[in-house]
Amino acid sequence: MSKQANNRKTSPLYHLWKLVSFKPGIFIPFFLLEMLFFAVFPQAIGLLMREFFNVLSGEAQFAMDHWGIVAVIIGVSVATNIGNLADFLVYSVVHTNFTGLMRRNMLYRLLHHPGAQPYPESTGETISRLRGDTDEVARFANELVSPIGQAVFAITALVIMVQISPRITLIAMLPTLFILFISRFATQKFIRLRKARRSASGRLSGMIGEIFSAVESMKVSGAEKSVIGKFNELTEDLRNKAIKDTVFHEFIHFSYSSIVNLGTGFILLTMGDLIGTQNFTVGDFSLFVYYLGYLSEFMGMFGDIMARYQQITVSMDRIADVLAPDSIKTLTEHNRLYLTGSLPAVPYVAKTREHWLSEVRVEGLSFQFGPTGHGIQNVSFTLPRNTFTVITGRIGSGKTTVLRTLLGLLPRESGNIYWNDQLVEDPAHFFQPPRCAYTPQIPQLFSESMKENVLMGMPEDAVDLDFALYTAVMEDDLKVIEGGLQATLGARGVRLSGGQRQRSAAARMFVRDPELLVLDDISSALDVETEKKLWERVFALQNHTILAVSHRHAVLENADQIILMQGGQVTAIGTLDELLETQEEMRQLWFGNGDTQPEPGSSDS
Amino acid sequence: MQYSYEVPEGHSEKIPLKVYVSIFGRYLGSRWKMVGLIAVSVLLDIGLRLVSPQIISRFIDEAMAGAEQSELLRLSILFLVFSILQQGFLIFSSYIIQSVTWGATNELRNDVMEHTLGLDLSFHNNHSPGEMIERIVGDIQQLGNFFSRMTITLVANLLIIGSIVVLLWRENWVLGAILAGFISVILVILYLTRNLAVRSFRDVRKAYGDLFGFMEERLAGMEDIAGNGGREYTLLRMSQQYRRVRKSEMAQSIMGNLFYLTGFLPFMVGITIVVGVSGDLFLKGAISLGIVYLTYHYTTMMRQPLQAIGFQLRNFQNATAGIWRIHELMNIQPTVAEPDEPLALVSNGGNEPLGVQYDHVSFRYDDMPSSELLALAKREHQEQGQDALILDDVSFTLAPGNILGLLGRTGSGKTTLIRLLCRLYDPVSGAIRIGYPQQNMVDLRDLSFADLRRDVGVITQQVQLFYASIRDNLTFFDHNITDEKILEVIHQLGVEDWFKSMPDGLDTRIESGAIGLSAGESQLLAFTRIFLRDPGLIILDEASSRIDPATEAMLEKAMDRLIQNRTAIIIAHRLETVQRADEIMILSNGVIQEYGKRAALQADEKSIFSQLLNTGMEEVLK
Repeated sequence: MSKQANNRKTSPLYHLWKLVSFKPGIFIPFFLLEMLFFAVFPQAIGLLMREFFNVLSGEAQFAMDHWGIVAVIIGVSVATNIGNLADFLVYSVVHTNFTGLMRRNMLYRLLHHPGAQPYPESTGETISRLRGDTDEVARFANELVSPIGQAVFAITALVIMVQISPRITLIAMLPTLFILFISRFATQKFIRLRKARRSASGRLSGMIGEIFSAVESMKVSGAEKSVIGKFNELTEDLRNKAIKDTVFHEFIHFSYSSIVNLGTGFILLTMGDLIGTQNFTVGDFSLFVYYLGYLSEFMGMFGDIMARYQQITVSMDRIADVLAPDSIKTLTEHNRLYLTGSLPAVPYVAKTREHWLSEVRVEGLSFQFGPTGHGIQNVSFTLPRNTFTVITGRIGSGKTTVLRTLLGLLPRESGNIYWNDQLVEDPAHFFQPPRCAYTPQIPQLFSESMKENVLMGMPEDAVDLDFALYTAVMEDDLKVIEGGLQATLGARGVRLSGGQRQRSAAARMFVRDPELLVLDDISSALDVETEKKLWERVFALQNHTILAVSHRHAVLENADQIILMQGGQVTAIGTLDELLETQEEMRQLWFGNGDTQPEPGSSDS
Repeated sequence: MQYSYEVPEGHSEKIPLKVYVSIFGRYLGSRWKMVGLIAVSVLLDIGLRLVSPQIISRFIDEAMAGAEQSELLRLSILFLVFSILQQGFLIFSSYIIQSVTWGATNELRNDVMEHTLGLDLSFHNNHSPGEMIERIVGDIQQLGNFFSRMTITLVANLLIIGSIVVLLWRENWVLGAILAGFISVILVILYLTRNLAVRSFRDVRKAYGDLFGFMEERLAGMEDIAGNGGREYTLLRMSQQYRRVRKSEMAQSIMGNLFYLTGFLPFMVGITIVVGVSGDLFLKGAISLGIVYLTYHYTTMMRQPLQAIGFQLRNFQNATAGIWRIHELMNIQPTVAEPDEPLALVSNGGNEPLGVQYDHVSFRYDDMPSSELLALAKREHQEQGQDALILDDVSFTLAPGNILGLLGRTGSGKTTLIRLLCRLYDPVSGAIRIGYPQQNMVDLRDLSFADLRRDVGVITQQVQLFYASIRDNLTFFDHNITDEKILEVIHQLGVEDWFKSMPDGLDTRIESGAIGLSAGESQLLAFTRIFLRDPGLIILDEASSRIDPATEAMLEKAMDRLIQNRTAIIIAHRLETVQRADEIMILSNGVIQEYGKRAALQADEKSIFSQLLNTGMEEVLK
């Protein structure tokens, strides 16, 4: 909850300003164009029309006949419409820059602190925030401009109106005071309705994402109907929330324009005796009605803005929820988007003496997370150069959490990590190639080519791709996969078998030639022969300081040391023989004693 | 499929009128009352809008002529009442419009969802979840306006324009005629250019679909990226995606707004000329100043309807782009379909094992050219000069209650053999039959999906979880399964202690993306999932791959009890599992290499199976 409080400190206005000032080269022309359309042109047309009527009724101030005025109006119209297209074009550029900046920064944040805040929900839910909430904020920032133009217009209009007749102006504007009153009353409701709508929409996206990620499971379970039932529930929920949100919004909007119409009515009521006199010409009248029409639009828009400002605070909060604590400020940080020009080369760090590993030491590492409560407490161990260390333990004993915390994928609560006796301050950015690379338990591949998946940005000529694929025992697969390295792997790499996915991910690790290799249960989808080959090749690597999670016999037998975990704590470290001799838990894991109970969960105290 | 229409040919941007009509019929048919109400309120709104300037015009003329104060007051109040009424109608119709919009789009969403879920796995292999979110949420959102008010607004605004022309004609035919001329030219231009921007809208939709597909994959693979130094690269890849978004948005901003050149510009010029002419007429004494004002006011009033038409035209093209993309989806037909008249499986009710028979089954993945399975098989078969078959003439019969241990290396066809049995694909030739002892075996293709899913239970390679409670993950959101039933199964499985460690019991929410639950725990859930359904045939596909030995030992025990009275096919990779099997089958490159009673194979020293056992590997080939 403290995260919320911290994140809330940044006002939406700060972000709006950051957005607006992001690309002044595009935004200023956009601003000027909008000013032209919303302040200058309408004003010109109104005044020209008054002049037109004054010419006809013989009260003209300029020596120009009515056709002259018509010609000027046509000129303004042509300029308006051609300019409008330019305006739309610039708008689309400004908009993509705004959304692009926020989406890029969010992705950046998420990538740099992947586990800092395990997403509040699923990836689909996060997508809904990346998609919908950033869009809301960007639109608002963009659409703030035209009301500024309209405000300028409104002020000049008021000045002109007061000059013509202060009394009628006052009467016409009086009802607009109600608008302030209404907007005060409506604010809280706006926020509530919008919150409900956005979260319903997030739940729906999340569900769709999950349904399509779990499609095979669902099909073989015949669960399509009940899942669609759930989907129905969510669409219906969104429908109700969205209708409430929209109708309330429009209700307020309409009440604003009604108020302005009242103003027109009041003018009619009071000026019957004035019209046609020297003080108040038909031209003046046309100008007043013209102004009121615009003022009505402006007031409606003004009301909208107040409402939408409340609504984007909801979106800002939702964005803050998926980012790491205190990082909402970075949402609109100015960063290059590379939308034009040539893309820069991916930064590549070649291995030097400074990356050399002699020993990694972990002291008292702790982390606790999630409602299911798995965590680790006070984990310490040492990884000497070119040794093979295996973490083992049963389900929920915290094996994977140790790896993640070490690598900075989860934020440690306490403990120190040393690389060659040097304290590692920020493991998330320290444990990177060429120092370290990682294969997670369930590796994810992307819908691009095998080559792109393995290289993932490494320059092809700087690395030994073939050797990495060989080490990962991919050579036979590649020979026969149609298209070989260029073959696309399908969404999330589904075209590969489980084993191939795991080995491709391993190749991704090997191609980085890291000093420290971290593998989470790599062998779980491999057959014994392939796995044997894989380990043989790994041990033959020049650098083979390895930290792995596994419970396979073949792996444990080869370990220089085994770290035995129980309930989130290290219970023993030693060779297989030592542990089998001294640790009942190790014997149970090794022999698979049927009487064993699983970890009674590490959540409860 | 309720939703159907003919496929428009080629790459034309146009969709035949009857397609629009059939979509309208399907999604608005049941809402005709609401649609009628929208039409009425829109017409009333128009009527009131037309009357207001008449009042003001009267007011000017009367005031200039020095009319009674009371008459002026009457006109003022009339104006007020009308404008308030007009706003009232707007709010009212706004509510109905929203109802229709959401009702129709949600119905379409459900149809699309149902349809896509019914599609073959190969479809889902090519479309990422992020893209599907954009298609189901984003694309269909574009149709909301199309359903609720596009037609009505178009018609109504044409009516307004028509009536204004008529009203003006009544005042002075010259003015009316000039205006009518301009307007008809503009409308013809608008009609001719109505499909110009569809492609640009489609490009935008596609760019966003790709973008969010990209993002979703990256979010799912954040640890892979972060742990392997791929952050900068990923951000640059996003920039690449965004370039396409930007380009398509820019093209669309011009194409989608061409209306300003083709419609609005000639209109502005036209009405200004009409006003100029009215000035001439006044100076000649043909009309009053009030009429000049009326001309001006009316022509200005036409701005709004014309703008609305332009806006709807833009929307229409956007919706057409949306329909196109939905259309694309809806026209993909599943190759695995339910029979029209399914046969039933006849059981004695309750726990009873199912028999399985593979009768000369062959299979190849036609649409997965880069699949490893195909490729591996292809290599083998090309050497033998044969087609690339994943399964080649596989025949065997598994008697009810027997347990088959399935062995073979990666790519040997094990997973495919199982997928065929779940009817994720159909065999290219041959047949697979299942049946209870008291009936003839039934071809899978003659069974309803419901029967098949009820009686054949599968645990797939990767356990897929929802961000939802443990209960929903076990039942797949089926509310008919009671907690008692779930707890009973948990009890039978002997995993109560583990479930008790969940802080909120069955209500504990599982965080997806493997955060929160370890892979092993996910498999415990999958076990419970399957046993809940009590099928006659259980298939375990590498089910124990990620469970540590201690936990597996516990599950073994429960499995013994639950497999009782069931037929089982287990893709095995450890000795304990193999020992449980009555029969052993070893697959290699899509053909049965060895098949027989486990005991017999074990006794036969020459068998591959006994050789495998003798090599001392406790983890058998799979």
